Amino acid sequence: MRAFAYHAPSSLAEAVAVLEREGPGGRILAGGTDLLVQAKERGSVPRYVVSLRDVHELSRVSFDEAGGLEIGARVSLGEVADHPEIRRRFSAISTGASLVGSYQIQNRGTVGGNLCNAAPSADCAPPLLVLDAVIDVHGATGRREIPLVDFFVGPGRTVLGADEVLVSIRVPSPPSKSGSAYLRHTPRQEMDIAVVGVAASVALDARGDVASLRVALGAVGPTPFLAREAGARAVGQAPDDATIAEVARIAAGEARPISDQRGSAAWRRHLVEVLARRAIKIAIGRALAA
Amino acid sequence: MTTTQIPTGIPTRTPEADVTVPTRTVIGQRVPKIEGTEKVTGKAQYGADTSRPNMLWARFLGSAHAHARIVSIDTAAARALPGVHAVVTGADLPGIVARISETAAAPEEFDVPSRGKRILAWRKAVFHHEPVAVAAAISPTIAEEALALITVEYEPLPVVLDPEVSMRREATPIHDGVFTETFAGKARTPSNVAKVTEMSKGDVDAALASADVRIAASFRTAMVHQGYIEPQACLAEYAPDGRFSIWTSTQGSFGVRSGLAGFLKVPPRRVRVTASEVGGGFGAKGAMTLEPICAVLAYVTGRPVKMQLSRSDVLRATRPAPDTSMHVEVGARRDGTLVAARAHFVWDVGAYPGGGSVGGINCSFGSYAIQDYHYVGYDVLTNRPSTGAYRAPNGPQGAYGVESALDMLADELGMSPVALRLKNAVAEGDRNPSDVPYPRIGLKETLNAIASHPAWTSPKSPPSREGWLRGRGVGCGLWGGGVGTSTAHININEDGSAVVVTGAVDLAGTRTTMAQIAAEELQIPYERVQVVQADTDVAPFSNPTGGSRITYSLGTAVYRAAIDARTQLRQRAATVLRCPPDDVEYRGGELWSTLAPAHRLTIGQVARGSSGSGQGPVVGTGEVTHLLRAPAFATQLVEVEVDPETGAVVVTNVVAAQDVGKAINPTAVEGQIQGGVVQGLGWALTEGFVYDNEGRLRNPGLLDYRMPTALDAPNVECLLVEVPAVDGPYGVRGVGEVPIVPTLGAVANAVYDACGARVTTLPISGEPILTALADPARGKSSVAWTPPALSLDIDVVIEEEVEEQEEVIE
Repeated sequence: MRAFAYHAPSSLAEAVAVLEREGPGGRILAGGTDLLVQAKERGSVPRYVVSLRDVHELSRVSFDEAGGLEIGARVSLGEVADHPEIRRRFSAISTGASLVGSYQIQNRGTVGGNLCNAAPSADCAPPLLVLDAVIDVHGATGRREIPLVDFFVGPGRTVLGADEVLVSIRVPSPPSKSGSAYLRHTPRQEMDIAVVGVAASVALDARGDVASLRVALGAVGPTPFLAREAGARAVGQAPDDATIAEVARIAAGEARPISDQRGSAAWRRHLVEVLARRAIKIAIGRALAA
Repeated sequence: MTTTQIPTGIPTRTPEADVTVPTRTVIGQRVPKIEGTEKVTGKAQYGADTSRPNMLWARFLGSAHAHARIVSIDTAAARALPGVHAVVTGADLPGIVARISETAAAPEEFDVPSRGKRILAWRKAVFHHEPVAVAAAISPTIAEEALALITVEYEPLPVVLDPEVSMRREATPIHDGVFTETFAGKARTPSNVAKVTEMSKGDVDAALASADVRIAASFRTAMVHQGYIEPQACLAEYAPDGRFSIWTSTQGSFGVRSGLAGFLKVPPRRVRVTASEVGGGFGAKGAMTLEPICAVLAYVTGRPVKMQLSRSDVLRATRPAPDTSMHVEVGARRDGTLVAARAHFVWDVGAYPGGGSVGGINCSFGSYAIQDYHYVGYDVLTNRPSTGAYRAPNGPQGAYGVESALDMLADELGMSPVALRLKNAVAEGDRNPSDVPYPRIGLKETLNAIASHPAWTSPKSPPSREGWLRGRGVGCGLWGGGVGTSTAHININEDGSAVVVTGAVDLAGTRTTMAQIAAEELQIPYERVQVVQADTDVAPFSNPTGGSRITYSLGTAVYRAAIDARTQLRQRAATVLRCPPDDVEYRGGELWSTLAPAHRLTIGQVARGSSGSGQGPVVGTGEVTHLLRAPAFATQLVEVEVDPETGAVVVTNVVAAQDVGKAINPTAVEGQIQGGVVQGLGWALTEGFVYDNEGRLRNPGLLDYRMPTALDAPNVECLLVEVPAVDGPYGVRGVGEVPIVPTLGAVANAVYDACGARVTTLPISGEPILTALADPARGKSSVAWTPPALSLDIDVVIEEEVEEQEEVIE
């Protein structure tokens, strides 16, 4: 591996200052589980690396009813997967975090890194999309908020500027009578990458009909994305098998899969329908139990 | 993991034994691996762990094309980079070899299309990432930077990736110098069909026509990799006295010595090879990979040169196992008796000849007694990496087709698949497809072990996952057994302990097993035996480790060396005890005269005395060149759960019955069986190289080349059936290869049992199951198939007797 410069600032302001000073060609190191593999295996060695190791303000998870959930950029996947409040109220997020790599990877890797790496198959992305996550970003010109739906640009690309650092991921408290789920298909049981990932979140109204439903898809497009038509179709409907099947069918139509070494486009589209049906069903079950 | 040992009651012959040992003490015991502590504490020295002062690092540049003429290579900029000591291309090799060997340069020798010769592409590249140049520099980073400065001008040529296209008459030959070899002779015109293997007996057409039931089906497997954990690594040093020292991860140090000496055209005495601990070989480290490149660079630079492959290099440019297309036909009487079989096997051997073998036929159809048959196998060249040995080479692919066809037959006959196999299973005296009679074998015993196992006899339990389906399937397979030459020395120390010296490489616990044999025959505690795997300057000769031959063949050599040492100890004791050697009793590590049993000597006393007595120290020697092959058979039961909506498969249980002859160390035997099964599960379900249309590997990493992880490996219950082999000590049989042979077919049969999908392509998991479910006729009806028009069918001429095949080392 080619040599690169390594910076370890001790505050967010300092990190942003390094990025501003050094300019393009840098990468931010949180867990490094994607960054180092890419450097070693694909030869994409950054000119310099800014480690968040000593930026302690980014290592917090917080939740309160009013403010919702906030996951700092340095919080590990493992901490998110095991967090009791996240497991209870944001099931899809804890599932997504629990599926990335191995326990060792989850101990180092971060949710923020999973998003910034912007793989179409990122397991944390569909769950956060269906739960209306917002990304909090700090850059040379100050702070800004980016809804996650506007965050991804293409494979490996986000709207983040060269001087910007992802500070945290914020997720509003889900309404009562709501639930979420994330499912993915992999040929192996674990330690694998999603052929298709599907997240669903459902909120029910006082009558028990669908107040809102969101479906997000991974690995079937250049970025993870919300299947908006599918979600819209369910609103006001009874959460029964017919509705679920219809929503899943529409979601499959919204998928934009390619054929590659992980599966054909046709199979992936089929998997979207199967997994969407199952994920919505689980989410409804959780909403009813909530 | 549970294990059952199934004694068969057949007495074991202990050949050449001069005493009867009433109770065995160490043979059959689960003693811990000798080198286990070193391995788990990270102290064991693997291929990349050896370094020398002033060492350089080498990296290779792979071809950007799967098939291209090399117009020119400009290395000037790379050579000018500070820290770079040498850049070598294929064109440089004849001159360098000539300088090393002080012979005239012979570039024409590189025209022969042989992977072993063309360690760097010669005039053309024939697969993607084939090494075209190497750079040696003071650091790996600088070597890599040097590669980036090399300019290669290619003239791309048409890429052929499908063997069934490549083998057609109208296909352009990849090499000018490959002429189809057959048992009858060699073809006169070049062709992509490197070899045709044909076996037949009786009148197969008539026999098939007379059959009550016929099954015909086509199958295809993917090209897969052995998946050893340790990438190839090698260090070479050239000394002023003209000798090359090689440290390498190999299955055979003497094989590397002769191979490298041949390549460099120097006598073997100029090459010294030290084999490292090997992090998995499975056949792939039986052939040389980096040794010639490192030796050439060490000579050119005058400095030690180390080279280590990356995982991506390993997957793209070593020697995987051939993908196989096959068409299988079987005919049977209503009662299940097989009357005829016909099959075509097309082995995609990649860009250079080699890799295919008769094993594909003998390891699959060899399980059944069939009167009339006709089997043809084709080794076909394509622009993919040339292939090599992988655990029971080509057996798993062939058995996948045959075992699938047998299950289709059982279905058609309404017969239990186990009963059908038992009815046709070979036994002693039956002949294999090559028409060689079997000695005592244990296929039926393994089938009976499965037939009576609760996993087969009990009703299927409901699936553990909602909406999934559960199934179980069986498969059989065999490995003919490896033999070859082995030698061992046993030095008896003054303290009565023993050192076994061998030149055979320990891949899987050899040191432990050999210590057990030596301890048993010397009647000393196992802990008092040390086993040394020495380099080629020190150790006595041994063939490479492969073909499941080591415990059988090297075990015989160690056994004989121990007997020899014992004889010498008795002779020396006789001098001390003043009696004829025949009157010396040797038991429990003590020697005495039967005439005066009160005066006892220990082995240590005899050894101490003899070293100064004029008789010299005790060094037992044992060698073996010929043993009767001891075929090993296995029957496996695989249980799966299948998600019919996604095609997902989870293997929930495997019961593996295997005739191991005699388990010297049951723990080591289980390790072999479980390892073979898990590799077979990967091959069956998730592994396979995926190439794009230009012949570039799309999955050159372990994320997308999906070997099973610990989570995918089910419980593997081992049933160790012990039908003693006729030859060799204790009745032992080789156990390494056979456990992978039945697995692929057993998985396919289990998936069919679960969901009714007869999947005829591997890997099975995912989309192929849905495709098969969408076409339920598949697996029921016969698939019409015509062999492709071959370029060899018009002009095969008998030019010469084809030499008898060399021992294939797996």
